Amino acid sequence: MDNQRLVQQLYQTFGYEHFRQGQQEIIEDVLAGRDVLGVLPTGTGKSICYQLPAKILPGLTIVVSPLISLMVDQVKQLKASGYKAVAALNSFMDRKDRTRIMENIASYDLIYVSPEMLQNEWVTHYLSNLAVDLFVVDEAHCISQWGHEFRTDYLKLHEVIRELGNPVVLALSATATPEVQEDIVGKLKCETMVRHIHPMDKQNISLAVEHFASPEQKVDRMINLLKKNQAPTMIYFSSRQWAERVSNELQHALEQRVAFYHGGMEQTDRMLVQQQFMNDQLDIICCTSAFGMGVDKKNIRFVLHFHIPSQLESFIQEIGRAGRDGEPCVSLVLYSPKDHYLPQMLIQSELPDQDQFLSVLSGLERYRKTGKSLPEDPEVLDLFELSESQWNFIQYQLDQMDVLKGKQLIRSPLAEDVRGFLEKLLMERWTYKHHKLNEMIGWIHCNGCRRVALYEPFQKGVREPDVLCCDACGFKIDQVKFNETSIKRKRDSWEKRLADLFGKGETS
Amino acid sequence: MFQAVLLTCIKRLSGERTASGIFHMLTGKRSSQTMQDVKGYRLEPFFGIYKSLSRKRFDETLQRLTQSGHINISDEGFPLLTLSGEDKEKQLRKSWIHFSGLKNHQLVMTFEKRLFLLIQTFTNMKASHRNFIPIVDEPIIQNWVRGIYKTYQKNAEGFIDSIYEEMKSLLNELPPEDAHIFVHRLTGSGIIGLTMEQLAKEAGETKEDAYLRTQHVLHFLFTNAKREPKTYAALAVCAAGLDSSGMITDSAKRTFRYIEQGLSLKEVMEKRRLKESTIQDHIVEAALVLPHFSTEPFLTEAEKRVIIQKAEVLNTQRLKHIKESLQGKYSYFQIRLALAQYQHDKKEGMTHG
Repeated sequence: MDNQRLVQQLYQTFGYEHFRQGQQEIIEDVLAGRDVLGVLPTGTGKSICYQLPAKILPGLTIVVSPLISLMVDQVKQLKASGYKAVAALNSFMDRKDRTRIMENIASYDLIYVSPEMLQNEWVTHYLSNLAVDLFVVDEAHCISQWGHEFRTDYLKLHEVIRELGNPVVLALSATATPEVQEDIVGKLKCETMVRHIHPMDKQNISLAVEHFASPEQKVDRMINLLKKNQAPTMIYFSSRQWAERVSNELQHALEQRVAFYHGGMEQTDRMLVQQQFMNDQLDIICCTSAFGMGVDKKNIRFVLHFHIPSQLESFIQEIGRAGRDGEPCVSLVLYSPKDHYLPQMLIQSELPDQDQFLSVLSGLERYRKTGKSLPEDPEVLDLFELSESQWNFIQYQLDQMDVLKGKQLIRSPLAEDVRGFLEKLLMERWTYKHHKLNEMIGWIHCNGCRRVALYEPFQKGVREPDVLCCDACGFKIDQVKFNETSIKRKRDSWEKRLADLFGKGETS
Repeated sequence: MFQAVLLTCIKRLSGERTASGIFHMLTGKRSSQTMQDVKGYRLEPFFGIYKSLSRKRFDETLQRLTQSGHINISDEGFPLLTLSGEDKEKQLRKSWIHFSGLKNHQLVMTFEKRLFLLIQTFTNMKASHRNFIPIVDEPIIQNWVRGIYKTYQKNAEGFIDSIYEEMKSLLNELPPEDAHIFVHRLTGSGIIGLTMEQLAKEAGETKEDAYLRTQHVLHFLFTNAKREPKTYAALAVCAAGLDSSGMITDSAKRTFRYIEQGLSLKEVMEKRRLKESTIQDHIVEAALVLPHFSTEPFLTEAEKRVIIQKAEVLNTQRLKHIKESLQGKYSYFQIRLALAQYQHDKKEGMTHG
């Protein structure tokens, strides 16, 4: 397909007149049948790289996506934009819906699948009978031990690719260090992958960090800053309670419309808050990392971090939500001395500790001795008091060492070689996670240019920013002045609100 | 609103049931104990009106009612109104009159989703916004709205205008607080509805109040659409096909059929592989709702009269009191059965006489 027809197709499908940086080269390679690794920064329209080919290619495009909420959001947005031949398959759907999709699978252009669904033989068997033209690995860094969101079920993707008759593979990530890039190519066994690596540094963002003695001081500072600036703002927290609490305090102190968002809310409420923010009915959103995955709001000016994430990759993704319209935007991290405890606890909940680990292995050994098979996963989690990612880790490793086959233990998990190896792996993982956290904390305390330091692990050098660079290079956050949202806070009568809802305009 | 509902429930239970009973009733638990209480204590309006109520918030609200002196909780854990509680109850009684929980709570849930998605869809289409994210996820509801849109496509604007006019006129009959909360829950063209949390702030009330207010309005709209389908023709479209099919559960129906065929309680137990208490629950449920159910195999007419008379003299629904004052001659099952039929007859008498 020539250049012009590709642009035409882009316009017809998505209403865009031009490709954004990096998209076109990737799409051309994919359509020419070449495997591609694409590293594109957040907010540059990664998904177009497969959504457009899916429309053009005659067969099916399968997208492996690690987060179910993200998957569901993307399907909704695609459908809303008129791209209808799309569906999502994941283990949280009820059987009826899943079967309905599987039975009509040939009618779709694009199917999003969670990785654990591809471990289901019924699903892969079904898919292997279809013409799959393109296999997309989204968030491909999940495949790497050295990636920040390692998922064991990503490691088996190369087998799935083979079962599907080796379709063209497109691996995409927004945050992959050079070592992770190597790992992706190796683990997918696609040595001939064409690489399209784009710089990640965001040229329209100014970076700043401020230190505080207490959380209360952070709140005061945010109030002070947001009183002077009225613009769409995201504030990140690592706990739900804090997000709710600060949201309430800001509501009282500020004119702006504030809401909180986290994974513990009811589905309907989550959707309403997300849409209110998109629709400019909210100015400030206090959220955990659960927010923002599928949110493509262009005019976010501030991304504040009340708590730090546990690695630079997450931080880069989160500040990547600011200024997608290309206009100036600001990142501010509010740090206090004890702030590293929260991410440390998070790491603990992701990995089993030594004692816990041994008691799990002994528990499994009892199953082997009695010859019983293991119960379903949710029960295993309860039984051994493990989190999902902890059990995933153990399960995968035991499977690799032929200790566990399906639900049956065929070898003692307490054998010296098994135990020793697992302990070593666990230590490595632990060390790695702490190293990532230290990298994040190191950046908070760095003395030189923040931009250079932030992107150093990912690429050589940074480009000249379009805005003042960072607090080390002369950027002063108090000189910022955003006045985007005009706030009218009058209480409408219900009659007026009802008339507005129905587009009845001025019928007072 | 929430306090008003609780106060009336407590009043009607007149200190004979625990707070848990109220909770199960509001959340629509379908045990025969709950069903029997609903009938026995005239709690029909409230059954199942708050499926997602959290136990914690329920307990906290009761605690607040205790602290403000409106209720007392007896040593046995039974709440009772105080004098000030009686006053308060009278004063607030009007606020919940449109609830029809037992009859409609499940139907209203579907009605709500249909109406909300329909308003979002039609108003967006009218404004030529084809790209919106539906606020209701369920495929069944989405297909229903799609079907309605196709049917009325030629006159979509006229149809949504009718919805608007009908809603406006019905909302005018309600307290403005109810109308205010309800319209802020709606999502239309260019306006996204508020969460319960936000609605509560908007009104300076609790989340529970906001939830119950929206439900109260929905019950009101639904009832009117059903009662006067000609006057509220567009709303009646949203309520179409939503009819109560008798209250007996499927499982109870199966048990009932065996009993009708003349099988004994024991035989039904074996056939259905269920516990004796479950089968008894089914029989009580049938006695509660089926007009011509015969209790003969388990209880003669004479025995039934003795039990009912005792209940009337003692003026109570508490099985334990009745059993004790009849010197334990009748089993709990028999007493429940007698009371169930008595309640059913009384209610029928009320509606027909």
